[in-house]
Amino acid sequence: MKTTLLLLSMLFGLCACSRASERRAYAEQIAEAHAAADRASSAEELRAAGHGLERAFEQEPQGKTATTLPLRQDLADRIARLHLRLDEPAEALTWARRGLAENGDPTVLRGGLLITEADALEALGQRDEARTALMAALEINQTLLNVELENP
Amino acid sequence: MSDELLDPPLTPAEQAELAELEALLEAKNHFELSAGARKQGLADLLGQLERPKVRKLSRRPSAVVWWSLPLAAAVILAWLVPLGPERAPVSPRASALMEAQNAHLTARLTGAPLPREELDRVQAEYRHDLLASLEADR
Repeated sequence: MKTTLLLLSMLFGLCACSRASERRAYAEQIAEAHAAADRASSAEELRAAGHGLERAFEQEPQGKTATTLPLRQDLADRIARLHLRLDEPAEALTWARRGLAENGDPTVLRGGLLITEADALEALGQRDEARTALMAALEINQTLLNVELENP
Repeated sequence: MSDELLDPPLTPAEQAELAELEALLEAKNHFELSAGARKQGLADLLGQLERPKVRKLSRRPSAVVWWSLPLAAAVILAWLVPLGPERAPVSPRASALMEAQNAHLTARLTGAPLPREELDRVQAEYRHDLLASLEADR
């Protein structure tokens, strides 16, 4: 009986360590991808950084959804902004919308993605749609600020 | 002793009235507590007045038991039933990002100069917080 308990506790310990290392690797991959994007200045570097961010986005999320979901939205936003810097608004729009599809809740990152979507639409000459996206971002922003004022 | 000092014997009418009164007095006892019961009740009341805490304590456990059962059931149910997606972690940087977004949107919609760099900087700090909380989730 004691041996079984010992084996079970060792098994649980191994599982916990394995999950912790997976989370650590996931967090490191995201952090490195963002660091590469921070350093990038030439078109080639920007493109390489974009690929690194895309690989991080395609990874299976490791950790709590409450943390990984905003991280994924932030990744999509960063990829979209890199495409805007590379003068690729269509790709930027695709990535902004992928980020928006991740979570429909009115969050601060959704607001950011709507701003990026507006930038991409504006670059594509779709000014009315861009303004609509900006107004949606403003609505979310106002809602969040009101909630914060009510619950400081 | 003369017969003048003694009451004259009761007439049948007086005897009938007395019998009626006696019957009424007996009936009264049916509607009143006995002297023993009144004494016991008074002693109980005085005892409760003198020991209010003891009385309170003696009644509380039954109430606690009856209220704690549904409370415990609610806690267990809340623990067992999934409550949908987890809420996003609240970060002080999220507030800063909201404010930076607000400044950016206001500038954008009013045609003022755009503080995009500031928005990027605050978003990078928020990202740093998210990565730190992913580490803390372990």
